[in-house]
Formats: sequence, C-alpha cells, structure tokens
Amino acid sequence: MASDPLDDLLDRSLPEPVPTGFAERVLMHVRSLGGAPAAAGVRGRVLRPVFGTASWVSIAAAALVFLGVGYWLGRGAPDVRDLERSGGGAAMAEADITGIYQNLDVLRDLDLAMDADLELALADAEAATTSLRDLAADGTRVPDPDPEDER
Amino acid sequence: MTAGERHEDRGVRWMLAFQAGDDAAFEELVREYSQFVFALLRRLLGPAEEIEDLAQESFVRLYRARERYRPVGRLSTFLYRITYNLALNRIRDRGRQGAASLSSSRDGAPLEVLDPREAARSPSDATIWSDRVHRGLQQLPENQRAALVLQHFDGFDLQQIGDVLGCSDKAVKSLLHRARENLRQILTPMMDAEDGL
Repeated sequence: MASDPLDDLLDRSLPEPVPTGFAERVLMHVRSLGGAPAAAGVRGRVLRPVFGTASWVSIAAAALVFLGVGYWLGRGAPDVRDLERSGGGAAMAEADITGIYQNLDVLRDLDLAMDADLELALADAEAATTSLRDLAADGTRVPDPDPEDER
Repeated sequence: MTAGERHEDRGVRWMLAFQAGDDAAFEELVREYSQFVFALLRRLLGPAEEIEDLAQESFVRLYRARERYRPVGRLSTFLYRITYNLALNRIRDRGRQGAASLSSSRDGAPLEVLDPREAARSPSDATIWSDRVHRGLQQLPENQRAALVLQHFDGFDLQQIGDVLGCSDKAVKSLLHRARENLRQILTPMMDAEDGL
C-alpha cells in the first residue's frame, strides 16, 4: 500500500522535549501530597468490606435512618408507663412506626434522586463538566477513567 | 512469579509493582512515559505554557489511581486517557475564556489554510516544518486531532484510540478520515509552494 504523503508531513513534527528535572518534580509533588500511599491503600481495604462500594449518599442516608431510630427509641419514644395508663399504647406506637416508615421513604427518594443525577452527569462528558464542577471543590470536571473499566 | 511479572506490557508491570509497594517502579514509569505525555499534550494543545503542569497532573492522577488500578490493556492507553481528558478540559477552558484560538475550531467550522507565501519566505528546515504541522493540527477539532495524533505518533489501533477518546471503532475511523482530509487541505498549499520554489 502506498504511503500517504500526509504521514511524511506529520513525521516532520518534532517531539516536545521533556524539561530537565521533570521526573524529580513529579516525584516531589506526589510525596508532598501527604499520607503515604500504602497507608491509604490499607485504609481502603479495611473499610471496603464494611461499606462495599456504596456511595457516600447511601451511607449518609443509612446513618440518618439509624440516628432517627436511635432517637425514637431513646428520647422520642413515648413513655411506656404513659401508654399503659392511657390504654392507647398500641395506636400511638403504630402512628409513630408509620411516621418512621414515611421518613424512610423520603430518605430513599432523596438517595435515588441524587444517584440518578450523578449517573446522568457521568453519562455525558459535557454534563459531567458542569455537575462535577459544582460538586467538587478542586475544579475537576471530566472525571478520570475508572481503572476497573479499562479493557 | 506474580501476575505483574508475567504481564507483557512493561508499564503494567511497573504499575503493579508500584501497587504492591515498590515506589521505585513509579519513578521508572514517570521516566519512561514523560516523553509520550509531553508529546501528546504538545500536539493537542500547541505551544502552551501549561504543558508541564498538565503533564505533572497526569502522573499525579495515575499515582492516585494506584489502589483502583487493574491490569487490563496497556498502561499507555490508561495514562493517555487521563492526559486527553486534562487537555480537553484545558481546551474548553480556553473556549470559555474567549481566548479561543485556532485550536477551538469545531466540526463544520471553516479551516484556515496556511498562507503559501510563508513557505516561500521561510527556510524549509525541520523546525519550521514542525511548527507548520503543529499549527495545522491545532486547526483540527480536538477529537480529530487526538485521533490522528494517537494513530500516527503512538501507533494506536482503532480500539485503543476509542478507549482513549471514549468512542466506538467506527467513530474513530470516521474521525481519522476527516482529520486527514482537513489536514491535507490545510497543509497542501504549503507543500505546493515549497515544491514550486
């Protein structure tokens, strides 16, 4: 196959020289990031079995539910003696339980909405540019590729 | 023998060794791939002052990806994808700042054919032609430019280019065709002028 003359032209493009000391500056930079990478890795491995791959939104929602139930069981629950005296303990308890489940629905809705937004943003590079800029303080826009997705 | 030692791609072997705690392997990796990252950024962005900053950021992001990295495909594909994303953000920043240069041209936008008289005025040495090729590349839409650069200078095949750009083989093929046609249109007058001297 005859070579394309355009390739000959492109071959005239000279490579960009790497500035002296570039590798040293990169290494200095990564060392200055703080926190030995090995420690970060251990931390990741320790926490992964506990939280799996759940997003921070899901974890936060679960924590809110636990806190809510804890509060209800502690200060928020009606005094058992009052319930016995009034004779309406079962009805009151049922109302409170219904309330908790309503809150759970709200939390679930919130979680789903936020996840959907994120997924939508990540599905489109341009949208991600906008959404992730709003979310991330460091200004990162087009997200890095996920190493686990590499073919 | 570990999986990393068996892997045929040297970059992957270094990355796995780095993942296993060998920091010297990351240093080897930076030294080996710096030239490629600089060349890619130069060809995507033109003569930009921020090339070193972006090259450094590419390696920092690779460093941060250490825990999540899985040895699939060539390391260069992964590193180039990081670099390409950074370059793309830079190009978009330029467009937003209104400092859109030739590099911001989009599909369908008219291409500026380089002035053939410049060839007649200029000595035809390697540096000047290199500059012309770089300027020609800057006129291509960024996805066409990246596809052509990865194919010609890095020897990537359609699938690897698609992995970096995030598109299908078919789309890459189309990008390459349009990139070559556009660049030919830009550079041919320069060649003709030189031949006529």
